[in-house]
Amino acid sequence: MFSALLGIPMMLLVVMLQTVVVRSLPLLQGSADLVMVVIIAWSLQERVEVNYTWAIIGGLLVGLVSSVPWYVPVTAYLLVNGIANFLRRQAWQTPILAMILTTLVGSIISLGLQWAVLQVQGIPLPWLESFNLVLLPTTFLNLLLSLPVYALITDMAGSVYPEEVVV
Amino acid sequence: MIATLQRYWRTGVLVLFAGGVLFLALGGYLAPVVQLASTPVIAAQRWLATRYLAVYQAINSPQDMAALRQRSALLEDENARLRSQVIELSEQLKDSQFKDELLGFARNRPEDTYVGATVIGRDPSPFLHYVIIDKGSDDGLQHGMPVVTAQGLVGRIDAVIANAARVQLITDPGSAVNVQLAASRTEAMLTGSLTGDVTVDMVPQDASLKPGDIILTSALGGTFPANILVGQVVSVRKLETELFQSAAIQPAVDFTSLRVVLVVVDFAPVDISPLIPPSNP
Repeated sequence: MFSALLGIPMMLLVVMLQTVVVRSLPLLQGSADLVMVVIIAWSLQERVEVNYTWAIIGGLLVGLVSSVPWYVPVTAYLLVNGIANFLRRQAWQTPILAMILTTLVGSIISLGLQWAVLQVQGIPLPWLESFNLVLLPTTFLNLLLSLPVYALITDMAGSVYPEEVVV
Repeated sequence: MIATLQRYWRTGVLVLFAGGVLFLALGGYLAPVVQLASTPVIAAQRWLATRYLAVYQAINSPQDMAALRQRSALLEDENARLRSQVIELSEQLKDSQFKDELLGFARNRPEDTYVGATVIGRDPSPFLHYVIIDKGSDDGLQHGMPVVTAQGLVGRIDAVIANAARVQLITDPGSAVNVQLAASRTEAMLTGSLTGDVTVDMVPQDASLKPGDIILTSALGGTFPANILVGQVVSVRKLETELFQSAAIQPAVDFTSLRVVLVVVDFAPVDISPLIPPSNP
């Protein structure tokens, strides 16, 4: 419940940053997906138990703003959240590795899903241009963002969910 | 008498001596003596004054430094404030120049009614070319309304909420605009792409199409008002084996620095979809 309450203002802020700042800093035709990176970083926090709420809130907000159908970002972010949870259990001692791996896979899933749905809608998106000009630069930018975002979100999770001290 | 002289002779001698000395001083005869006597005194006083000044400065100079540093910090703050003011004013100047251009455009087309809007964001998806503006249905905006700047056509309203709207740019890969060549009035189709490049297609092979040709909107299809500047032909692609020729277009609007736009609010797009026959399977 607290995670969801925190997620609404946090995701609003992140979506605003995404539409105003991050989308204005393109590399070729790609630009970083700050919302997804924040969701991954939050999902990898040990102390956060219910973390899919941020994926739903972020997905709905992006779906509201974007011309991509609303279910695409929701599905993509929930899938990314699932991968992050899986990797958190498998590679719990190396969260940085899990962060990088999830960002890499998440970028491919999110953009792949968008590309497929837009193709079905009849929007011509040549796959080679999409791969070279969108997928690769976006993934690179997401990976660049992943480490600082993980550090920030870890600090935030530490202040929101302080470590319990057994006396 | 003798007793009186004996009593006062010392006083008399002293008075005579003092008078003599005074006489010598007034006559200038004592100057070398005075100079000789005063030189060591003055030297001693100078030494004392120098040392006192040194001590005084040693005690007071840190306070002066602190005051100077404080003053310097205040001046630096003032400088920073003025610099930010200069930046802010130059931004306002740019905005007002841009608004002047828009106003000029609106005056040149008095038949249309416009609502000015500021671009406040872009679509989060890197595949799409949409912008978000700060005016919505409360300001009279509706789906399908054309969006322009002083330079030319920007796109059209794709979605509206109460106080914001999403605009599909003509560079979007899903965008298709009916246009005409200004010189020959030949109808054609303008499409966007993933890279933001704009192309004119469906130009008949016999139509004259060359670099530098002006492209305007066409009223065909009822989605845009006629004769809004779209861009200029950059290069032509013409193959004998194809039915139509095509051309790369340089849009009139610089979409990378899009800040303020005008929405044509008195233009009602015509929905011709009921007139299009369904495609046979």
